[in-house]
Amino acid sequence: MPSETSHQHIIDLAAQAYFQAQDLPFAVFVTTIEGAFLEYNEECRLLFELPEVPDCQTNLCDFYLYPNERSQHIDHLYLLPKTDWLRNTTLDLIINEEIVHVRDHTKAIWDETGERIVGLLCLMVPISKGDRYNRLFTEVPIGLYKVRISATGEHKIVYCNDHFAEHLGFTQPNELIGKDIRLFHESMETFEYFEQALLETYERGQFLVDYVVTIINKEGQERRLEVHINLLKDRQGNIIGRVGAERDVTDYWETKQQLNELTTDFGKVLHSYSSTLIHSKHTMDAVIRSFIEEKEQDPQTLQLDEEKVGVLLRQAVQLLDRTLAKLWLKNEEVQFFDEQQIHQLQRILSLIKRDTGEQINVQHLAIVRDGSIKIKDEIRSIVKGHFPKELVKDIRQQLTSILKLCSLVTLSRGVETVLEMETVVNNLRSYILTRVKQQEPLKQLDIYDIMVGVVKNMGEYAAKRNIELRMNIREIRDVMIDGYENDLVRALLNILHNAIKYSWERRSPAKAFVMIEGWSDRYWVYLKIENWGVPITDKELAQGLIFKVGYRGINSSDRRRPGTGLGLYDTLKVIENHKGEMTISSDPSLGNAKDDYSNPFVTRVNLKLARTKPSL
Amino acid sequence: MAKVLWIEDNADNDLYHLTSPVYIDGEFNLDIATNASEAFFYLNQRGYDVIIVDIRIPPGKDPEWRSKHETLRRSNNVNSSRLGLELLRCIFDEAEQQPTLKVNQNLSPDRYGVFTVERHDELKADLNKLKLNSIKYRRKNAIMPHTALLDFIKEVSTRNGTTSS
Repeated sequence: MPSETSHQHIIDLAAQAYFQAQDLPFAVFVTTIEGAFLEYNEECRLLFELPEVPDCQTNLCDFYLYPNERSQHIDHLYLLPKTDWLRNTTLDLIINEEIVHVRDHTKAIWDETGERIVGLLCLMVPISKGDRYNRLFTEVPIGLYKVRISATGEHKIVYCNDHFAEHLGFTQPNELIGKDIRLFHESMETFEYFEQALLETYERGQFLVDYVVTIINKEGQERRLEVHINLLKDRQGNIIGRVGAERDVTDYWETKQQLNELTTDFGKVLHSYSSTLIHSKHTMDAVIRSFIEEKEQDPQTLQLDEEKVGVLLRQAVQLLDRTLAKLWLKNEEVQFFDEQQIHQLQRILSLIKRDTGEQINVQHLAIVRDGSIKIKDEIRSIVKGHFPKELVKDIRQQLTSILKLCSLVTLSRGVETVLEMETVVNNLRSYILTRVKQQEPLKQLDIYDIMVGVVKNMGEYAAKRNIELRMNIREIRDVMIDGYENDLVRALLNILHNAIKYSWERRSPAKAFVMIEGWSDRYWVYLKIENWGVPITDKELAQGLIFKVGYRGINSSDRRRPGTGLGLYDTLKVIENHKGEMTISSDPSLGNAKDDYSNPFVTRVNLKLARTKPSL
Repeated sequence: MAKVLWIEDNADNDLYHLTSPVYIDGEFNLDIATNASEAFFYLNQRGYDVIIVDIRIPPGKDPEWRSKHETLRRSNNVNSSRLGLELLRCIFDEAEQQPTLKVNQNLSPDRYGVFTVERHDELKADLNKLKLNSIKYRRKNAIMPHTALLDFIKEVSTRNGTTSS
């Protein structure tokens, strides 16, 4: 603790410098190296609320918001020449529980040996927030500016920082002051368009943000500035100017434009794919309609009844088998086909018989078809006179009948595949184009109508997959939500499409089904879409893998299921964008263990969306 | 009958019509692997006279192949979905063989065929690295006949068969 004498000694050492500075309009004071106030002028007394006569009890360090700043300054002073001031440091002090920013100049008071600093002579001036923000204004790496609208209607730049000046091609902000900012816009027309956008957002009580304006800089180069602007108004509410921030996004803009064009092109290609798929589907439908007979149709839907066709196909193959047996018998007599040919034909016939069992799939049908064509080719080679004409004719007719039935089922399955792919392509197109299209306006939507529309949209695909869509959504009739219609429809289509796609088929007469339920409470509407089929593993659910872009389920590769791996990712984003929630569960259906995937799993997608708030 | 392995993820789906001519022809016993895991299993369990490989195949259920796929995908490796190429690497590239993914298949390279949608020049560099410059190659496209697979198997199974592109 320094003695009174040592305090006096410090005062003496500082006397000359203090005497020269004490009348300046700043707080001027001498402290010990530890910070005790020894001597001060009136400005200092008022600033720190010190007693009239120094009592050495108050310590400057107690006012520091960041105490280590003082020791840093002392370290700095030791490095300076002894007569130099440490100038223009900015300090944050706490005086009367309020933060006061000061600009400080400090000189060290050295002892006689010149080895030790014993005290400090300080000059302090409080600085305003404005001063601080001015510093920020010049240092922040974006362009900032203020425009005033003059009485004559000019939009004069009254203030700007270095970055703004640089973006407009000037070296100093001063060169821009007083210039009409409209002159830097591409044309008066584009300026008016920009001004209109500004006024529209202002009327909505918002700032204009992320708006890209094209300007022509001093060198005549075209630049793109992304601006964020707030309008200024006088007390009467008249618009008198604006303040804004901007950044030069020229390079980014060009890349973005190219990406947007490319994305739009992708969208167009996908649109044409979708059109081609629709065309193919209609063509296939037309062929089926042309050749289908009543006995092959479902009497209610008039669609091809695959079970009936299966029965007819088996009957036709049995008939062919019997007819060919007669041919083999006759061949023993006429010896038209050699033993190898007969063996080959019989092998093919056995393949056909094998592949027209209870469960017929397209792979089997392909073998039946190609086998029938092969037999037909061989029969066509028969030279007249070797076999009875009627026998050959019967074989040909039976083969034609088999080929027709095979083709009908193959086409019908083809339609199913096309429908499945068309939804995938269409949803992908819609997803891609959301990247480039304008944000859809938030609208009041009738969630019941939307769900019914989605179910209708998926109806034909579900019917082709022999899956029934059961709906119990009466409780949400007339329930409204605020939403983005296209996005929401796409999300619901994704969920329902998945539910159908990943449902396991059931043996007739049982029918697989997808259950859609809806209910609501005062604030929320709930939707549940449930299917029985492909399991989602615990790991996939716990780690959120199913929501990752491009992810295809571990158990989803067991049969043909086209997809992009975008569906659930996109759906989750849409639901989150609606401030809603989506959860998915997948549980064993028939008492099987969690890791036993031999039985179907019940997968439930639960959605929770906020109801439109009632108007007051 | 000659034993053939066709590694093709779409064999049961979009390309099923290519298999029926092989069954009808009756000269070949055809096994189909629809992903890298199944292919790896078949390659280690059975001996083949002809192996036809697709380049873009999924990893399947084997954790090793899933992990390999994920590693390649994370590193943005262009070959992340070219696991058919990785299979060939497991067979022919001694240096890069991961012990757990070692393939025991002692078949001469000229009995392998690449049947893919990718252009030959897109694969050339990788195939050259594996010294498979002269591996038989055929491109899948919409104009190929429904007997394309059978024709290709016959070409590969014939020692004097020529590479077509």
